[in-house]
Amino acid sequence: MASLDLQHIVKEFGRHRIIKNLSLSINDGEFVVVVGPSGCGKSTLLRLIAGLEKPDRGHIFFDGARAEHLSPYERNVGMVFQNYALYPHLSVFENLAFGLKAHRSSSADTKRRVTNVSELLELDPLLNKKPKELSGGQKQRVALGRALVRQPHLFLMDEPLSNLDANLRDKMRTELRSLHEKVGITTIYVTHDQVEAMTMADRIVVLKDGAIEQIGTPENIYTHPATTFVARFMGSPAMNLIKVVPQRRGDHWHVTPLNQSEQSGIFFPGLPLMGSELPSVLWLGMRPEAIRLEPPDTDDDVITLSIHVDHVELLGAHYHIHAHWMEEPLSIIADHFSRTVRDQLTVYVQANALHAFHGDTGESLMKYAESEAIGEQTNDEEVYAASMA
Amino acid sequence: MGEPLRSGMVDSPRSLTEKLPSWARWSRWREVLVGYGLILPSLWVFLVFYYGPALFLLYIAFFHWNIFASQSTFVGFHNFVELVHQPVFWQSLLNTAYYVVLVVPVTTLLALALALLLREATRIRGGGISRALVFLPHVTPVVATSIIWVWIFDPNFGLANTVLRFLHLPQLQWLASVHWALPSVMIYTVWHSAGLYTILFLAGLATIPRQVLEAAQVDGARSWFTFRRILWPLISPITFFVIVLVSINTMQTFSQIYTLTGGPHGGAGGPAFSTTTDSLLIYQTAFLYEHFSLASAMSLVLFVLILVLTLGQKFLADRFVFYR
Repeated sequence: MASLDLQHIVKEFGRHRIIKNLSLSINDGEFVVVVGPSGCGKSTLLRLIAGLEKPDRGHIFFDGARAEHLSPYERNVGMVFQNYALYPHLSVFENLAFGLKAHRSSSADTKRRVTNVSELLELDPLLNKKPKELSGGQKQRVALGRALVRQPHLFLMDEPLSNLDANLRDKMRTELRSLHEKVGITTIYVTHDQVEAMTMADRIVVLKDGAIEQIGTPENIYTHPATTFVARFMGSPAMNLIKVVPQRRGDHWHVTPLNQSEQSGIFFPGLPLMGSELPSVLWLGMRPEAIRLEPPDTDDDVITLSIHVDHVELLGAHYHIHAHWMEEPLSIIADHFSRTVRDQLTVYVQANALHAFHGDTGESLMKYAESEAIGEQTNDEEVYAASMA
Repeated sequence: MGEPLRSGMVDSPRSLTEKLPSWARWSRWREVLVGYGLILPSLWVFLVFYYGPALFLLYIAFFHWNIFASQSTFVGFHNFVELVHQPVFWQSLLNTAYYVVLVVPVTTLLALALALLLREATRIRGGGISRALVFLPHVTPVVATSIIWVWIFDPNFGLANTVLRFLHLPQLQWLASVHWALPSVMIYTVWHSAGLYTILFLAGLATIPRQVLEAAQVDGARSWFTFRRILWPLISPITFFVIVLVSINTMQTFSQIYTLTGGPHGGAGGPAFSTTTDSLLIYQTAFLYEHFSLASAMSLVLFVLILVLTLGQKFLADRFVFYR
C-alpha cells in the first residue's frame, strides 16, 4: 500500500504545457477519481504517476520517498489501460503471468499467484483463451487481473470502462468499487465520465487545462462546486447557469437576468453581503433537481420562478423539463409531471440551493460565505459603498 | 412488385437469368460490361507480357525450338535430361543456394535491426532523415550503383580494401577472387535492398499498439524480454512476408551479378563460374548461346524450386506466425 505526493508537477510536450504546476496528495488506501474533459491532461497525469512519462519539473513521492527516477516496475504500480492493451498472442494465463515471468518468478509461485487472481476475478474458465475470444467485459477483467497479480502498491486506471456498453459499465463500476473494498489498494482512476467519478470516488479531483479546479468528496463537489466549470461538469443534466446583475435591496440581494427589467428579478437571500467582492455580473446557479413543481414544505426562504415549458422528456423515473425563465433556458428534473399542465408554470427553489459565481472568473462566491459571513456586516457594507463611489 | 426487387438484391450470377423486367436485366448486363471494360486494358497487359510468355515457355521447354527456325520439334524431356548432364547447371544451382542461404537471413535480420533502431530514432531530431537515408539505396538503379561498387571492390584502389587496410585486416581480391566474388555480390545486394525491408518492418512495428508495449513496461519486462515475447511474435506476419519476398528476389537476382562480374566487358558469372547463378545461366543460355529451349527448361526448374520454397515457408508460417 502506498501514499502518493505530487509537488509542483509541470509537464510539457513541445510548446504545450499539459500539466501546470500541479500538487496533489493521495492517502494510503484511497480511491481517487481524476475527472475532466478530454485534453485536460488527466491521462498524462496518470502516466506521470506510473513512470511512463517524466515530469519536466516537480517531485513525485511514493510513501515519502522520491520516485521521479524510478521505472514503472520499481514504483510497483499496476495499470489498466483504456483499450485493455492485453498481449494479443498470449492466452489469458500467459497475460496474467507475463510480469511474473519477466522477473523469473518460479513456476509454482507464478501458478499460485495467477490462480489467486483468477479466483478473485472469476477468470478460471478463460485461462486458456486468447484475448480475441473474450468479450469486452472479460478483457476488462483480465486487464485488471494483470495489474493485480504483482500485488502493486498503487493501482492506476485510465478510463477502463469507456469501451464497454452502458449496462456492463454500470455493472463493472460496482465490481471495481467492491474490488477496492476487498484489496484496499490505493487507486487513481481517470475518467471523463462524471457519473463514474460521483459513484466510485472517495475523493474527486476535477482537472481542467492541466490544473486542479477542485478536490473534494463527491458530496462536497456536488453541493459546493468551486467554479462554474465544476458546476457544469458534475451533475447531469448540468447545473442551470444564468448571467444576472445583482442589486442591493435593503438587507438582501436581488438578482435580475441580463437585459431584463429590475422588477422581474428574484431575491437571493443566501448571497453574502460583502460589497467589494461582488462583481457587477454574476452567474446564478440552480441544479435542475433543486427546482420543484410544488412549494416545498420548509421554513426556509423559497424563491418562485415563473417559467414557460418548451418540451418534456421522460427519463424513466424522472421527467426532464426543458423550459425558459424569461429569456434563459432552464432544465428541471421532476418526479411527476402532468402533461395537461399549462405552458406557463410556477416553480419553486429553496434559497439555500442557489449558487452564485463570479461573472468573469467563474469562481464560486458561496465559499466566501462560509469563511467570511462571520465578519461584521457593517464593515462589509462600508467597503461596498466605497467601491461604488 | 415485391418479387423483382428481392431477386435484384440477391448477389449471385443466377440473378442475371432470373425473370427481371427487361430494363432491369439490361442495366445489370451493362454493369457487368462496364466492369469488364474497365479491367480489360490491364488484363491485356497481363495476358501479353506475363501469362502469354509463361505459357509459351512451358511449350518450348518440351520442344527443340530456335528463334531463327520456323519449325520446332517435340523432344519431350530431352531438354531436362540435357540439363542434368551439364556440370555448369549444378554449379549454378549450388551458387544460387549459397547466395540465397546467406542473403535471406542477413538481409532480414539487418532490416529488422535497422527498423528497431529507426523506431527509436524518430524520437530524436533528424530521425525522419535517417529513415530516408536507409531507404535511399533501394531507389537507385541497380546497374548504375553496381558500377560504383565495381570501383569500391577494386583490389588496388577500392574503398573496400582501404577500409580493410585501415582495420589492419588482410586485403581481398573481391570480384576477382573465386571465393569472394559471390560474397561481394551479396554485400551489394544487402546494401541495395535492406532499406526496402526495413520500411516494411517499420510499418509492421507501427501496428503494435503503444499501450501493449507500455503494459510490458509496467510489467517490468526488459528490452530483450519485450522483444522476444511481444515484438517478435506480433511482427511475425511481416517477418514471414519479408522472408518470402527476399527469397524470391534473391533467387531471381540478375542485374547486379551481370553488372558486377563483368557485364560491360563480357564474361559475366566468373571468375570460373563462381558467380553463375541460375538466372544468369538462363540468360546466357538463351541470349548468348541461343539455346532457348534449354533456357526455358531451366526457368521451369527455377519456377518449381521457388514454388516449393514458398510453399515450405507457407507451411512453416501456418505453424509459427501469429495473425491478429
